[in-house]
Amino acid sequence: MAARDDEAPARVEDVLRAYGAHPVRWPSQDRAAVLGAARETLDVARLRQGEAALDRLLDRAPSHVAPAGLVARIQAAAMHELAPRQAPSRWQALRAALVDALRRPQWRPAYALGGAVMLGVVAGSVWTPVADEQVAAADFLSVAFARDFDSTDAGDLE
Amino acid sequence: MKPLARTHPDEALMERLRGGDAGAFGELIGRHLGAVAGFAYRMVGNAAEADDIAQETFLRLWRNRAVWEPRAQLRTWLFRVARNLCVDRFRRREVVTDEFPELADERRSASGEVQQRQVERIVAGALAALPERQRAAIGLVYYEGLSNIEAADVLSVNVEAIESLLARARRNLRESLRDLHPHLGEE
Repeated sequence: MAARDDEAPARVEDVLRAYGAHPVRWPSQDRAAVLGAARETLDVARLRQGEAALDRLLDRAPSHVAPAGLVARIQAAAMHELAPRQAPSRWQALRAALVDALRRPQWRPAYALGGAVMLGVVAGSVWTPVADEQVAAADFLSVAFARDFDSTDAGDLE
Repeated sequence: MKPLARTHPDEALMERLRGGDAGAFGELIGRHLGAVAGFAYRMVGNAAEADDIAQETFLRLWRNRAVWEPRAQLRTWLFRVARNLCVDRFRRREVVTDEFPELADERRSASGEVQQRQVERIVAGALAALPERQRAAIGLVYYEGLSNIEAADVLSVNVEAIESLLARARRNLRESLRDLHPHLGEE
């Protein structure tokens, strides 16, 4: 009997430390023993008071109430999963197949070549090199004879 | 008296749900949504995230209705799924716990007359600072009222482990919240 008295407080303390001060949270098999110990033992009563203080603080933690529309949202999502998926039209299927084919990596060199050609076309249309041979000859004469020549002088040389 | 009245309401509803009864699904959501969303909120600290987790939990119930094992307890199954979804989000770092405050800052400003709102936020911050398993144990047993056996089932541990998690959680909370109450630290 004395051994049982020694063991009970240890379990009582474990219960209070784990579950707090309210008997509703205690394991049912421990409830009577913990309540009895709290009535009869000052240390247990004090321990329970400390746990009750922690309980009161924990009860002040903000809580979350699910919004009213959430039930309908879940049901709608479930029904959506039930609904058979609509078969794509012939045009949609053809377009999807084409997009899928063009996304294949084998096409990458062709895309690179096409890009280079397009870049060349754009560059050629914007930049025109000096093609006038007379202007080029005049520049040559100016350098050769250390005086100014224009394109008509260069034309006389021909 | 109808025979179904002797069985647990969830069992009867699950039997109907297995047959594809959408009405039973709605009733099950109504019975458990508050607890599941509340638990998810305790875990992730964000109302929108908690609602998403609750929705996905019930959608998994819907998807698994045909293979539901009648011996399983629905409530613990729902909490287990919700907890796993929370853990998945923690791993993918998808959860934004912006509704939980910085505990240290709040504690500093909480000297003197403590405002109700500040206390709530400090307690929320202390809960958020707990390790995930301790937070789950407190959420299940303290806030949602599960028994130690049910909580052990949800977390896939034994009852002794649940009591250990609870005791460690409360010790950490006591330490975090000591400034708010002079008797919390008494041994």
